[in-house]
Amino acid sequence: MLKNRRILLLGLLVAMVVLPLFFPLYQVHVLVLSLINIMFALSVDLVLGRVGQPNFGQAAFLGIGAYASALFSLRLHWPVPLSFLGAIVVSMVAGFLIGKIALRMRFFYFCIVTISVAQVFMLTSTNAVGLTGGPMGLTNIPRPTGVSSLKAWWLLGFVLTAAMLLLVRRLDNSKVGRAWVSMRESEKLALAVGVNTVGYALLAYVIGAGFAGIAGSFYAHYVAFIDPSMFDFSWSSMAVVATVIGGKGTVWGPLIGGAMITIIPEFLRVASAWRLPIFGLLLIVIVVFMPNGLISLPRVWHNWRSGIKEQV
Amino acid sequence: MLSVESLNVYYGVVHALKDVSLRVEDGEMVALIGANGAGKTTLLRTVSGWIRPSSGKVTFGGQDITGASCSRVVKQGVAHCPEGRRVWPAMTVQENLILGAFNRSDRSGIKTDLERIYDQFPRLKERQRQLAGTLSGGEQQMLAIGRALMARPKLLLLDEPSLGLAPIIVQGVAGVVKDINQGGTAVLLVEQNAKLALYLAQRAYVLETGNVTLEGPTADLQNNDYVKEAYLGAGRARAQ
Amino acid sequence: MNQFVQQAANGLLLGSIYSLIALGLSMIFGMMNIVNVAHGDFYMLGALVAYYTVASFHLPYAVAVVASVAVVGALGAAIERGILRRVRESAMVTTMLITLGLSLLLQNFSLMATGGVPHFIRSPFSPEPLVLGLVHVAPARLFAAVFSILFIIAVHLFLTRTKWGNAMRACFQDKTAASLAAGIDIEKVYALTFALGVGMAALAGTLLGTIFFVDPMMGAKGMTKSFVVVIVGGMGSFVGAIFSGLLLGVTETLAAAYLSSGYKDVVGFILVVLVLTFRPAGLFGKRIR
Ligand SMILES: Nc1ncnc2c1ncn2[C@@H]1O[C@H](COP(=O)(O)OP(=O)(O)OP(=O)(O)O)[C@@H](O)[C@H]1O
Ligand SMILES: [Mg+2]
Repeated sequence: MLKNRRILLLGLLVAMVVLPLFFPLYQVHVLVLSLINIMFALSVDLVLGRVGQPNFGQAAFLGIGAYASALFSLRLHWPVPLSFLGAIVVSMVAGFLIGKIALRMRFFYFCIVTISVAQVFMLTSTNAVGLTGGPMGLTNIPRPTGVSSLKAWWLLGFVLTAAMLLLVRRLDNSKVGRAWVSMRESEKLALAVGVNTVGYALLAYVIGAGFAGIAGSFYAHYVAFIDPSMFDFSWSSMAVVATVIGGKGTVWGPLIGGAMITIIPEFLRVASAWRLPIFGLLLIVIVVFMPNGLISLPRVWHNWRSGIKEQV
Repeated sequence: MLSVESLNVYYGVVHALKDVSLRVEDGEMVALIGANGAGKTTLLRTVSGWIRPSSGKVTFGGQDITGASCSRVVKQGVAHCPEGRRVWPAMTVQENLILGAFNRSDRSGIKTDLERIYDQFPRLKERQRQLAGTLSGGEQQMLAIGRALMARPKLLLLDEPSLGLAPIIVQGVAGVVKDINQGGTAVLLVEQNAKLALYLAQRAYVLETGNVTLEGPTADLQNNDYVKEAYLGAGRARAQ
Repeated sequence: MNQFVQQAANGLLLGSIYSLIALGLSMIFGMMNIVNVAHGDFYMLGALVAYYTVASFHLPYAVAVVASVAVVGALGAAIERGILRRVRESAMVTTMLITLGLSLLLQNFSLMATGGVPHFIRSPFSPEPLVLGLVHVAPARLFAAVFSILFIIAVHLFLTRTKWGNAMRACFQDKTAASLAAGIDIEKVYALTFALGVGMAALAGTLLGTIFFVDPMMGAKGMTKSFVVVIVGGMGSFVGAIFSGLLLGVTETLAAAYLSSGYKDVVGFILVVLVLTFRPAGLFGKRIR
């Protein structure tokens, strides 16, 4: 049984990697963008779903990763892989410093501090024209050698995303993951049984910042152009939407949500102005009626069929 | 006037009231006694409309008020003086009292009732501009009772008015409750202090883990061996 | 020196409107325990409703102000009844996610309604500045400031002197007692509180819309300004919101005049960081977390 499932999963995985290679180019491009959204949603979920705090300013780290990577490549002429690693380190260090302050706070305060941090970075990147190119942004960000075709980007992104998913899964199933669960359920209780809540929360925050840095760096080299809108609130809020509609605090939720927020608008061909309101509405509906996200759909369906009323 | 028929209440899986029936006649004082967790507060809150019963019926003055909103129940003439007093701590004594009359619109009537309550509780009058949170426990209990009376109820639900008060203060509260009843207001008195409750009321019910196990005139219950053993002096002496 | 006094006066005028919008946010949090992430969007919506009342229906500005507060207040009440009521006992993150969803909805509807073009609410005030001693003030600004101060006083009187205002305070302190003992309809109180809170944001929008442009960025600005004011002043503190609104208005205006207008919006964040470091509960807040 278990073995069959493994084989099935493996087959699915191979199909997922290989099939897009035969897709039209534009669709591969959409899939690559969805990988970026998945990586970023994963990073948001580390704080939203693990620590349980409203992280509405995660774009700070997306932007930091993007700018750091672009600047290392453009100004210091580092090779792209090195810039990429550098960007992760910079994002994680920033995450550590900001997390140290932000995690001392809760809800309202946490929310405003994280949003503010992103805005301060946006203002800085707009005004520090000499370094960041100001509102015009940075162009001609180099691509890594050997990764020139869209298909190569797809494979690279897939490997990265898979690695991040596996890491989160590993963490969730470890002592760290159990600490996160107990913190999310009740911080007081976790403290009482001796969980170092500050330490574990900071760990989630720093890993989350690193993930956002990966997404940002990947985006910068893929699109080859970035500007201060990398720090925009809409990036943060869409990632929150993705996480929540998929199912927060899970591994597969951000995957489903991140793919949905990218792919659905493409297929529906809705005017871009309608995207955010539609997802805003979807967010409300999901939070009210299916607080565990689409990932819980099978269970909700099963319970409904067998007449069990779920206690929310 | 109040009639409760086969009421069942659940908290999730906890079956807090099991087929409870009870009556309070016009102008009567009825006591409801029972140990911690017996379901006394649950019963009062269900009557008030705060908790929805899963089955059973509550009628008041001939009207079905099962599952009615709290505000409708108060408008019908049932005021609730909750367990633990629960005055609004950051509001003055006077504001607390006046809000008790929230569902009334007869300005002059409210004014005379306020004066009457100040006459009855001179301590409150002296402290009318003081924040309720700064009152002593006994004063807060008086305020909570006064607040409920401001709704000019036909029936007063009193949840453990003696809780946490010194014996001398309890005497005072007992006197007040007696006066209220003699003034014509029916009272459903919940007490763990069974001795006091049986002394004040005309009839009583004994509630044990959600079941009414005994009922009758208080004179009979005072002489009932089981009640004596479990709720009056005898049992307590042994427990100590 | 004259220049300084002039700038400080401008700051005070602006700050009084910051106080108004922030009080709405503070009230919703203090009474309902909801962080209204969409607060800035209600502020923008208020400005937009006023703009269309004047521009499309050719009604006077005074009517536009009333209409805007009424429409946004009614929308707020409807949202409370329809959505927020369902998550009343949930974790704070849940309500924050819902108001985030609302924010995305409102923000983009407004964007579509305006086509993203900045607008300007036409008010009956002359552009000719009044001279008051040392300072020159535009009549529209003076009106906006005076009106917000009067409205704040009116809200204060409502909360302390009227039946429903007292009922709101009572529910905030102990809603069980409010229901059981006084028979206060807490459903109505919640709807009223949310309506009043977002109505205050809308009013601020109608006032600032005659001075600044009404554009899609307005919501984000309204949100951050009001969040800053509430944190600096102290959560749920009436006096705190007024004081820190004025403080933010003055420091921002002075910073724009003497430092750099590009970094003007950073001033608020610096204030937040300072306050959270030295007085985490805010200047007028009680110590709660
Ligand atoms: N909100 C609640 N959720 C779950 N269970 C509850 C709740 N309130 C009460 N209970 C349970 O219902 C039962 C009856 O409680 P209730 O408060 O009515 O008792 P009581 O007789 O008033 O006790 P006490 O004398 O201690 O006030 C208890 O077992 C209690 O644990
Ligand atoms: Mg009780």
